[in-house]
Amino acid sequence: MKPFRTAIGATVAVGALAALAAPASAQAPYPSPKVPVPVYADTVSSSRGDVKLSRVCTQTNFFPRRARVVFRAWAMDSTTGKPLTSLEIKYAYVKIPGQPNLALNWGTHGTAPNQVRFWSAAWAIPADYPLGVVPFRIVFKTETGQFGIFQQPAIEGQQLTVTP
Amino acid sequence: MKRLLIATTVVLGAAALVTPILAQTPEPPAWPGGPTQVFVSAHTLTAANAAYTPAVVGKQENFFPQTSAVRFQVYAVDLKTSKVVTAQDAKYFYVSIPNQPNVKLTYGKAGTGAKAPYIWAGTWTIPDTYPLGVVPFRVLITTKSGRHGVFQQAPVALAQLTVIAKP
Repeated sequence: MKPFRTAIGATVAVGALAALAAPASAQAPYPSPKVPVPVYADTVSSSRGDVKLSRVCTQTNFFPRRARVVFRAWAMDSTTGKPLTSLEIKYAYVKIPGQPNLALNWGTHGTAPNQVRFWSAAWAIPADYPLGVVPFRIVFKTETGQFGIFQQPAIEGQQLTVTP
Repeated sequence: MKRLLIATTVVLGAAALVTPILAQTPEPPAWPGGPTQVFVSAHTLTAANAAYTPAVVGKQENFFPQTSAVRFQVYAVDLKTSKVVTAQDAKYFYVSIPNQPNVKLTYGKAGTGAKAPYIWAGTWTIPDTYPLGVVPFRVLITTKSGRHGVFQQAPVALAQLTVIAKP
């Protein structure tokens, strides 16, 4: 009986270790297994800036130095299933490496009668900003103390990238 | 004194008339509206196919020429559990495109490397004759627990998926 118990014990222990090890090797969902405040974000070109892209207000993740990146975002309140507005958010900003935090503003977008409101912020890329991927983060903190964080998936070609 | 009374009456009267008018002007709705049970986020990316190879594959883009491929990359969160929806949780997950068959999304590894995340994706090849202009696509999900969610692009004309003439 004792060897049987030992075998069961060993099996359970191995199973527990395997379960602990699983997250590292198993399917890691983007952005993470649990998301208390889900966030959508993208980057679009701006009509302003020292360097303008060929199309304005269009989605892209490649921007030359001295161009302006417009971050657009919205976040969802898990309890109500509705978007988080300026009434429910304590602060919201974009964190860009080597730059001051960029406050997101709650505002109206689009043209009447189809205007909507969401969060946005514009970043003028400095002329000497390092070339390459910009691993920015968007952070929302709700009045109830919950955090919503957006990070682009680390996939080649998809991340915000500064070009010459 | 009489003049002051008249002026005050006029100002108060005007305020009484203007205030309800201003109060009636509705604020534009908060995007993406709701309430919803499942949050859905979707991006469109460039992809290569036999007919067209973009300058950069996998780039975020919303202008696509006819015959090119649009890669939809999507994630969803069940707002009741805060869990990201995986292949085990979804009953239906697809992109609905006007006058096209639904594009089924599949859950898989995005990118290379051991730490590459899992995400939903599907590809639509734009027909040669597809009408030029904005494509008001929707991404729809039903979970196995019967909860629903939808993604629609914000109605900002130049930032929406748009089909352009092939080069």
